Amino acid sequence: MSKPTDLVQGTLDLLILKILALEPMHGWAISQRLKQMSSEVLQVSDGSLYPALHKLEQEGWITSEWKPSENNRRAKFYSLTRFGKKKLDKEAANWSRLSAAITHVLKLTEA
Amino acid sequence: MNRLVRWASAMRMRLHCLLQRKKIEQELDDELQFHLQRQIEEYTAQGVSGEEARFAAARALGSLQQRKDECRDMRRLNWIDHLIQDLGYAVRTLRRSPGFTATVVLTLALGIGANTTIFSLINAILIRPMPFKDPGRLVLIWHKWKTIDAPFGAVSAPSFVIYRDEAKSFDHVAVVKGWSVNLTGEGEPEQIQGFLASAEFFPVLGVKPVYGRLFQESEDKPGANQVVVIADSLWKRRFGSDPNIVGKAVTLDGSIYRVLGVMPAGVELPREVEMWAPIGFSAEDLSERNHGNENYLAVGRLKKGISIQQAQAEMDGLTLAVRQRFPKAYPDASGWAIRVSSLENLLVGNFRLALLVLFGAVGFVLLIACVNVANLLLARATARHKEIAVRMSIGANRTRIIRQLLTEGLLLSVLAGTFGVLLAFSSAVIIRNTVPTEVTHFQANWNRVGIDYNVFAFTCILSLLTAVIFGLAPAIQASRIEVNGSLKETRGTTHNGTGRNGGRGFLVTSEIVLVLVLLVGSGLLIRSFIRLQAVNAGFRTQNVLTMRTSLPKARYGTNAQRASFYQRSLQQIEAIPGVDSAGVISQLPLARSGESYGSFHIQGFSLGKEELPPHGAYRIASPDYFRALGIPLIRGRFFTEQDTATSNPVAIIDDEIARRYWPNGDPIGKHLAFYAERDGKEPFWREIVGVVGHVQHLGLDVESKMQYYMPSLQYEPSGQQNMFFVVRSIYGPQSLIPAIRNVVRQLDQDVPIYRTKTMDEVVSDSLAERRFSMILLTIFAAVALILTFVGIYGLIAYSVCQRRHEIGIRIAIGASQSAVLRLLVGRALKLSAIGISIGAGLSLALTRVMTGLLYDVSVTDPLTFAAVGVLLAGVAILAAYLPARKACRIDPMVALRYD
Repeated sequence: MSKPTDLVQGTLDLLILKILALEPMHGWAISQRLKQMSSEVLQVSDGSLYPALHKLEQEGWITSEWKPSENNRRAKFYSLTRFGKKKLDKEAANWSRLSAAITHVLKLTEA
Repeated sequence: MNRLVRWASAMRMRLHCLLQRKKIEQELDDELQFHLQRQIEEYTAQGVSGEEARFAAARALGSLQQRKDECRDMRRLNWIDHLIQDLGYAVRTLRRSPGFTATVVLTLALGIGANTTIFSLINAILIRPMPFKDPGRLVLIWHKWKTIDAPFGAVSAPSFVIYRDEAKSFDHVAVVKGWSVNLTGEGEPEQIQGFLASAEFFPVLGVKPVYGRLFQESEDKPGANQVVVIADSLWKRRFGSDPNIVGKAVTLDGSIYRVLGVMPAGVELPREVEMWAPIGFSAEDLSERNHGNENYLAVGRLKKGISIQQAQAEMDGLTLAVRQRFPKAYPDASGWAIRVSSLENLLVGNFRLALLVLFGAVGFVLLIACVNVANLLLARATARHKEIAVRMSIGANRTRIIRQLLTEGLLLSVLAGTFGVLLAFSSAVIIRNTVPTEVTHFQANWNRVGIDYNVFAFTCILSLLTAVIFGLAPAIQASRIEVNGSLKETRGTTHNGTGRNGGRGFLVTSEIVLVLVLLVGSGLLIRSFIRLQAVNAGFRTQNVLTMRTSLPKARYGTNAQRASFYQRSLQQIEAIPGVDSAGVISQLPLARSGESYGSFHIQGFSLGKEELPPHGAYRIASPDYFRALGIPLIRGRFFTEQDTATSNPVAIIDDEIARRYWPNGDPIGKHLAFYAERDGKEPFWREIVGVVGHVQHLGLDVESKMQYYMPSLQYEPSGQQNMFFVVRSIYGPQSLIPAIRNVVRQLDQDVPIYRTKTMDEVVSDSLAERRFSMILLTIFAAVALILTFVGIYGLIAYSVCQRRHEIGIRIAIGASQSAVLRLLVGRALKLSAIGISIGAGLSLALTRVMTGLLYDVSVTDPLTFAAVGVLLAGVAILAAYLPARKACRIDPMVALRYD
C-alpha cells in the first residue's frame, strides 16, 4: 500500500467543518467519521485533530458544549456556528475551483 | 461587521481562557480522556485485550502532554503561560543566588540611574519647550559692533522704535531692561529683581496673567507707569497669595506702584525676575541723540512662517537704511549691524554641548555595566550548563531556553530600572539644588528637572534595551549547549573553555576601550579646570568679602547723596576691628554683574577719518577699592578722599590702555575724556593719576576689554545705585558679616544688603558650569573604572577557577609562582594593551566634540592620554594580580583531586 496521502494544508479544517455541518459531534466521533468518510485514504492522526478543533473554536467557526454522549458519559460536543457555515461555503467553493483546475491541467498533460 | 463580531467573540473566549484557566485545563484533560476511553472501548469491542487496547489507544493519540500543549498553542495563550512560568522560575533562581542578583542589579542600577539623571536634565533643558507660546519664534535682536566684538550687544531706545515700527518680519518687538528695586512696607526691606519692559513684552512672550491684567500701551508712558505685574513666587512669598492683590499699592524704591496682575509660575526669565513694570520712554529717551545709549535687550516674535534667515535679511536692509539716516551714531567704520538670533538656542547656550557630552558619557557607563553583567551571566551560564542540558534533554527546545534566560534578564533589568529611577530621583534633586542659580537662571524649566513621564518612559525603554544587550549573548551561548557533552562534563577540565573565555576576553577589552574614552574626557576637563584656576585674575581673593547693595532712588536721587552714603559706611566698616580695607565698585569682577562700555578721547591723539575712538569698560570705584581687592598699582597713585566733585577730575587706567597708547611714555599726568560725560560738545577732561593691573572681569576664560576707573566721589551720571562692597579682612572674612550689616542698617535701615559672598566663592561660582560638567564626567568615569576593575577581576578570577587543574599540574611539574602569576596577569595585560590602544584611537575621534568645553588644553593633550593610559594599565594589573595571587597558592595535590 502506498503511503497515505498527507492532508493538504488547511484541508483538515474544511473536512471538520463539513462533518460538523451535518450534526454536532464530539472529538472521537469526528475522528471516526473522518476515517470512515474518506474511506481510509486520508489518514488523520488523532493527535492532530484536537489542536485543529481548538483552533477552529478559537476562530469562532465552531462552538462547544458539554453533553452526555451516546454511552451516557459527559463529552465535549462541537457544532458549527453562523460564521462557520459561511466559512464552509467559501472554503468548499474554493476547493471545488482548485480541484477542478488541477484536474483540468492534469488532463491536458495526458492528452 | 461580521469580522468585528467574530473578533469580539474570539476576544471573549481568550479572556475567558485567561480568567478560567483551571477550568479550561480540566476540560482539556476531560476531553482527551474521553477520547482515550472511547478508543479503548472501540478496540475492546474489536476483541483486543484490555492492556493492549490501552496501549494502542495511547499510541494513536500520542503524548497527552504534547497534545495539550498544541491545543493551548492553538488558543494562543501559551506565551502568557510560559511568561508566568518563566517569571516564577526566574524569581526562584535569582533568590537562590542573592549575591549574584545584588551585583547585577546594583551594576545596572548605577548605569540606568546615571542615564536617567542626565536624561532628566536633557528633558528639562533641551526637550521641554520654554513656557512661552511657540518659543521657536522668539528671537533676540541685537547690535553688533566691530569695535566691541562682543556678541548680543544691547540696543538703544530710538533704534527699538525703528524695529518695532518698521520691521515687517515680527508680530511684536519689545525691549526690556534689568530693574532692581527695593521693596519696603511690611517685613524686611527686600531687593527684588525685575524687568522694565515696553508694552509689547508680554505679547512677544505670549503669556497671560492668572490674576488681573498686563500693562497696556497707555501705561507705557512716563508718569503713567507706576504699575507692576508680579511673579507667582513674589505673590506667594511676600503677599501670602492674597487673591485681592490686584489694585493694591506696593512701595518700590520709596514710590507707590499699583499691582496690575500676577503672572503664572514658571514664566520668569531669568528665573530671579519677580516683577515687571512698563518702561515708559520719554520723548527725550527716544530722541536721536540717544542712539548711542544702548542699554536695552530687544526681543521679538517672528511672524508665522518667517524664518530667522528671512528676518535677518530684512534687518540687513534696515542696517544700511539706519546707517544712512544716522551716520553720526552709526559710522560705516564701526561695522555696526543688526543681528537676529534664536532666543531658544541662545538661552540653552553651552548647556547643549555639555549635556550631550555627558549623555554620551553615561551611555558608555551603561554599556560598561551591560558588558560586566553579560560577563557575569556568561560565567553563570557556563556553571548552569548541566541544568540547561537536563532541561533540554527532557524536551525543552532552544527558543524556550532562550526565552527563559531572557526573562531572567528582563526581571533583572526591571529591578535595576526601579533602583535606577530611585537613584536618579535623588540625584536630580541634588543637581537641581546645588548648581548655582547664576548658571541656570536662563533655563526656564530648571525647577522641573526630575522624573516626569518622558523621563520615566525613557528609563523603561532603556531597561528593556539593556536586558536585550546583556541578556541575548549569554542566552544564545547557553542554548548552543551540546546535551550529551555537557551532561558528561565535569568541572575542572579545560576543554572547550577557551572559546567561551575568548568571548569574555573580548568583552573585557571593549570595557577597557570604553572606560579609556571616559577617562580621557574627564581628564581633559580636569586639566582645563586646573589651567583655569591658575589664570591670574588680576586680584587677590583671600580674605575678601563682597556684598551687594542698592540705594532707594527716592532718598538717594543725586550722586552727592549716594557718594556720601558710601563714604560714611566705608569709614565705619574700616573702623571694624579685623577689617584691613573696604571699598565700593560699580561692577565686581567675575560676579556676572555685567559690564559698562564706553568710548573715550585721549588728549593729543588725533583720530583718522575712518578711525574709531578707543573703547573700554569703565567702573566707578571708591579710593580703597583697589587695596581691598588687591589690584596692584603699577604707576602713580590710587584715588583718595581728596578726589571730590570740587577737585581736579581724575581717572585711573589699567596697564592695557597704558601699554597700548603710551607704549614707551608715561601716561601719568595725561588727560582723557569719556563720551558718556561729554557736556554738549566740550570733552570733560580727566587727568590720569594711576595705572593699575588689568582684571579678568567677565570670566577667567574670557578676555576682558581694557578698563578704566573713575572716583565715586567725582562721577555725576547716575550709576551708583547698585554698588558692591568689597572688604578685605585680616582673618576669616565670614565673621565680619554681622558687623558690616549692622553698620549699614544703622545708617539706613531701608538699604538692603544681599548676595554676600567671599571673593573665593565669587571666583568659584564663575566656574560653576565647568565644574558641573567636570564633576559629573569625573564621577561617571570613576564609576566606569570601578566597573571595569570588577570586570577584569571577575575574568581572571573565573579563569583561575576554571584552570585550577591545569595550574595545579604546572605547579606540580615545577612552574614557579612568578611564572603562574605572569601567565595570568599577562593575559590581563595583553587585553588591556589592546583595549588601551583601540581606546586611544577612539578617544582621538570622540573627544574632538569636547573642544568647546576645554580651556587651554588640546583635545590630543599627550599628558592626559599618558596619565590615563598608565592609570588604566595599573588598575588592570591590580585587578588581575589579586585573583592571580590566589592561584599561586594552589596546592597541586588539592587542585589535581579537585573535581
